[in-house]
Amino acid sequence: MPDRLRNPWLGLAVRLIAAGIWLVAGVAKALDFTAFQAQLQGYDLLPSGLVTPVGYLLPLAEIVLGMYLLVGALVRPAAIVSTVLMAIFVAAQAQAWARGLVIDCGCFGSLDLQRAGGDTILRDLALAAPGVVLAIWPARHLSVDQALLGRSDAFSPGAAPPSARTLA
Amino acid sequence: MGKARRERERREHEEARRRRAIAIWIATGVVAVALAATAGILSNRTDSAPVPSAADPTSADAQAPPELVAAAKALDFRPHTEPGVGLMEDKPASAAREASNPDLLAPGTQAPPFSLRTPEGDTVSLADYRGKAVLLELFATWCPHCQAEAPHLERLSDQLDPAKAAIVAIDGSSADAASVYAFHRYFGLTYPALLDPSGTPGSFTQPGPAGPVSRSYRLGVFPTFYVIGPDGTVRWAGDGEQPTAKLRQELQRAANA
Repeated sequence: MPDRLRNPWLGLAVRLIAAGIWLVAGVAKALDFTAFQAQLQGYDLLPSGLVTPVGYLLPLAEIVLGMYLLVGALVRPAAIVSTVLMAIFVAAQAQAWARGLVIDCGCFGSLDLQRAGGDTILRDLALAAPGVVLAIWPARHLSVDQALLGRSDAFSPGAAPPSARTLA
Repeated sequence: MGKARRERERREHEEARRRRAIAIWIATGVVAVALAATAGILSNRTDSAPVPSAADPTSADAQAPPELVAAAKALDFRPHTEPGVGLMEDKPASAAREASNPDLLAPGTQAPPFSLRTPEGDTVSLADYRGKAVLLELFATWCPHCQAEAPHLERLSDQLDPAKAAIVAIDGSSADAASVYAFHRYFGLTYPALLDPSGTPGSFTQPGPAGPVSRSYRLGVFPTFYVIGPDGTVRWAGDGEQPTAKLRQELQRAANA
């Protein structure tokens, strides 16, 4: 199969989209920490003593994750963290949905008030896609990783994932 | 000779890259620790408005039956606070948040009628306010957000044109007469605070379930606010502490519509 998708600019676009998702989500939550903590409480998952610290930590961590992806520092580890976080969010919403909880998703803080459920789970799965792609094929075009560490741009979907090629 | 030099340069180059990679990982560790520390510091903040102090009781409350006064005194009513409490009331109307309870009665709905008693036993009905805009507050005597709201609502009540608008509060936690009286007296309230018993009595120290009227208003969060128009329909609903400017704005809008 011709490796038509192997385009450094396409890879960069995917990375910037992933960065944008985290930056918007983090900033939206950080605009109103108290509201986000109330949304977090609604999930009824964390012990009450942890709701406030996690309510502060998560938006800040999302912003930092977005910055790492934006400048392309540690692209693959950042993409793995991104995928794991999204998996946790989807699991949290799935349990709320299964228990019939009527709660705000809180996915984008108070910017977008949506009830956690099938729709928000599907949306998060779609939003997780750029992170998953980057975890497999880290796009390092115009990145810190490339400039300082000399790592090559490994964005080549369409070809087999690098690990599989190594094994073959 | 040249080959050895190239090999040495390559190794040095590799070594420099390795050092930069280590530096990036160390910087990431520092960022992670800084994030955790920031979250820790922020969550240990005790940002809240000071606890409202006791107001002079109104003459009506001062003349309440002695047994009610004694029962209220035995409760030792005093407001308390928590981080984040009392920070909303003085903000501009634009700071108001959307209601967190999606089940609140929608604007345009007929407001459920009620006829409830004050701690002293006087009956107050929604029908008494026909022709006026009413700010209805569903509160609980033990709720710090409701305690923080009380002095602000009293000031707002004082500024309203009594021919056009009024404030009415309903206890949504089945509190007994002594608890509601203690709350009303402490904050020197001039607007009525009504009892809405559910069958399982509550008090200032023991929250009870929502009574039938509070349930008919879909109480989910303390405090819950409704602005009811002169025609008895819901005009606006909100929950959680509100900027007083927002409540004033919604009341005026309903009164002048």
